[in-house]
Amino acid sequence: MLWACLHFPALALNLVEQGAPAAQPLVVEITRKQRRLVLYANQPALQSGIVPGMTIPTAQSLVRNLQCQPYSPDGEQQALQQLGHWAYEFTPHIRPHGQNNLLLEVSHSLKLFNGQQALAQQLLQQLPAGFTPFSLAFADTDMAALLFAQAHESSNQALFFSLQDVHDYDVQWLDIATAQKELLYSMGIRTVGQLLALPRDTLGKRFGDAFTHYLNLLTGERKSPLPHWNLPPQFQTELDFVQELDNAQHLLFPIRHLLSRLEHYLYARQSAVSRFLFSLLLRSRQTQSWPIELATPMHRLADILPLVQLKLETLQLAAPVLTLRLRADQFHGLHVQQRDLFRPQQPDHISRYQLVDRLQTRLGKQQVHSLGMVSDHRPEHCWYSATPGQGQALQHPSEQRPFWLLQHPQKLRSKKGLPVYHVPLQLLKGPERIDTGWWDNTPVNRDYYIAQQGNGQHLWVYRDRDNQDWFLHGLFSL
Amino acid sequence: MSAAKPQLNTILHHPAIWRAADGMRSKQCRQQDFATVATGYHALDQVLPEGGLPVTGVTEILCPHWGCGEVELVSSALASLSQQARWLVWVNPPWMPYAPALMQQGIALENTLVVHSQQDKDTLWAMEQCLSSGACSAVQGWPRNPTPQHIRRLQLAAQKGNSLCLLMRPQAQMQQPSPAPLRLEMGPLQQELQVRVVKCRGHWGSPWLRLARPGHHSSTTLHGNAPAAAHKPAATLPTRPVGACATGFYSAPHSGG
Repeated sequence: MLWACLHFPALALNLVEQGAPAAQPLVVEITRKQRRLVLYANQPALQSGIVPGMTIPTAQSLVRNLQCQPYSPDGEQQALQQLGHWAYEFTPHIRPHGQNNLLLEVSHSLKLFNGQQALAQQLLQQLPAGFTPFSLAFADTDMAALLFAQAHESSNQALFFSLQDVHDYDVQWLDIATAQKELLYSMGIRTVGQLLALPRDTLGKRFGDAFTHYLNLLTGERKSPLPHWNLPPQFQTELDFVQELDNAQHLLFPIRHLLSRLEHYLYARQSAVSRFLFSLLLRSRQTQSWPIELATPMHRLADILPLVQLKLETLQLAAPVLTLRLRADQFHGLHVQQRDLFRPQQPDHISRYQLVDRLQTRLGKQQVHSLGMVSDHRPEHCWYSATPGQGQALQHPSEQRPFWLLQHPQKLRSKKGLPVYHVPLQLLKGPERIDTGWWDNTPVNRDYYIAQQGNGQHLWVYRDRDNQDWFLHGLFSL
Repeated sequence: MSAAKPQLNTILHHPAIWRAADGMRSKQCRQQDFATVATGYHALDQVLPEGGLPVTGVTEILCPHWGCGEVELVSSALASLSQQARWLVWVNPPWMPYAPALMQQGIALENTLVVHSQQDKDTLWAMEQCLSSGACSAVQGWPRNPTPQHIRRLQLAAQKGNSLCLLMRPQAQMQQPSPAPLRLEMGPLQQELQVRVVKCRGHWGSPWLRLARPGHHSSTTLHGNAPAAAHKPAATLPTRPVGACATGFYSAPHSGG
């Protein structure tokens, strides 16, 4: 077994900064025993003399306009979940540990990624932006990897250790309660090596079974169970803004952030999404829904983002936005298209529908459609404006049909029982009687003829059998 | 004396005479060879460069009125282009293309796309988007008043996306300059389609061509010999034309009365 531990010492701060480190002093505060304390401070705050553990009033006396964000344990857990989705690309054996650690068992992925070094490189390259500082440690047991990662926190690189290295480390890095660490110090035990030299059963009597269990896990005498990462059936993620956003265009960066999380999720599940919902939590405590529908399921950020960007131009914000939430719960299997070796210019499936999305966004959804056929004898009912790409052909009419159909039949004058369209028409062929539709309140009872104008233009006309009026219904271009 | 007078044709076949049009025809002199799609009308294909409509670029069709046979002229080409897994787009057509007729002409309905726009600006925008995306095999558009700059943009977009742009314009705009590489003019519809090539690459234009409409003669003879026939439709049943295909005019036996 080979375990990798990703340790994020300032995860709560990362979540507040969201990948864009603030130039202003900023702290994450926590309330303990009714006192507001600084939990994490960003670089400008540290330079101003603020240290973690300081009370908020003291910190505010040091820096005039200090931004204080409350600490959210739930946010940390959600972030670890997101990182878990991301790490699912590398291994299915993932376990979040504590508040800011992610443990990955990677021994089964070594062959795929060409060994430890290459895998570590991939992990470092693909780690989502905005999670620095971090440390990545590889060791043979999960608890040892955790110890090394915590001991080398904010190293921002991959480190490899053997189990023997554990002996040299201070006992303060053990993942045990602080009281037990103090007890070990009072016993004169400084390093892990000294601790492991002691008989395990006597330690068990003094510190409890959980402690010896932990030591067994650390040294590999007991194997930790292999975790299995389960992706949730629905995708949901959100982003809180430090400063409220009042311009819709400013939402683009957070949208890209959320969609890249969605992309990782879709990649891990090997599925595509055709509709998702953005919820904007407004200052007025209302929620503005902004659903996005795509003409075809997509899974790549590079495909989805331009369309969302286009739709963003028409988004009107009712009030400044505090939080952006993304939710997707309908997924489709990934449609993988095989491309033609000899026709490289063949467009892929996605770009066809990107065009439709672009046209529909500007002109309106109803203005762009395909043509399909319905099994109906009434000429105006035997076609429909289909969803693009869904047009269905039926072997319905055996008679010749005009290329152009008038949306609404045009009434013609009649002269001596013949229709007149600019000039009197001559009937060439007919009648073709269509008498149907009595069951749905739009019955037709017509005799259709192909008529010819003086210049040779062929028209499709009918005589309504109920009132003997002539109508023009189509034009043959042929 | 008359026997010594050389015929113009024989002079032209003399190897010492070089004609620019022949030069453009030979592969060496062309910048790039362009693929074409046959219109299905032999006489027209003969006069068009490379024997058909180019599948890339703007082809302008000038009509005296809509419905003068301009769709008939290109329907065979559209049917073969629609077999590609790309869109066949009508932008702002004067009437609705009728799905059963499209199917009868062999156009794949799942690749059709109809785009309606309120403003001329949107029509041109939609055409340009469709052409440049590379996801359309042909775009047939009816913009109201495109300027040469617009047509130039469409031409560039069509080259980028490797698409055919059929630009339908009224005949009244024929005198306006146009950067379209191929311009066809339709004459008023008579018993035959009338078309001439106004401008094309590497050739002079052509004189007026009269193209027989497929499967059409039976109706014209009928019309010619019996004006009274119109009053008795049942008696004027045209016979099925020989060799009528799916695009033939009266291909189905008739059972009215």
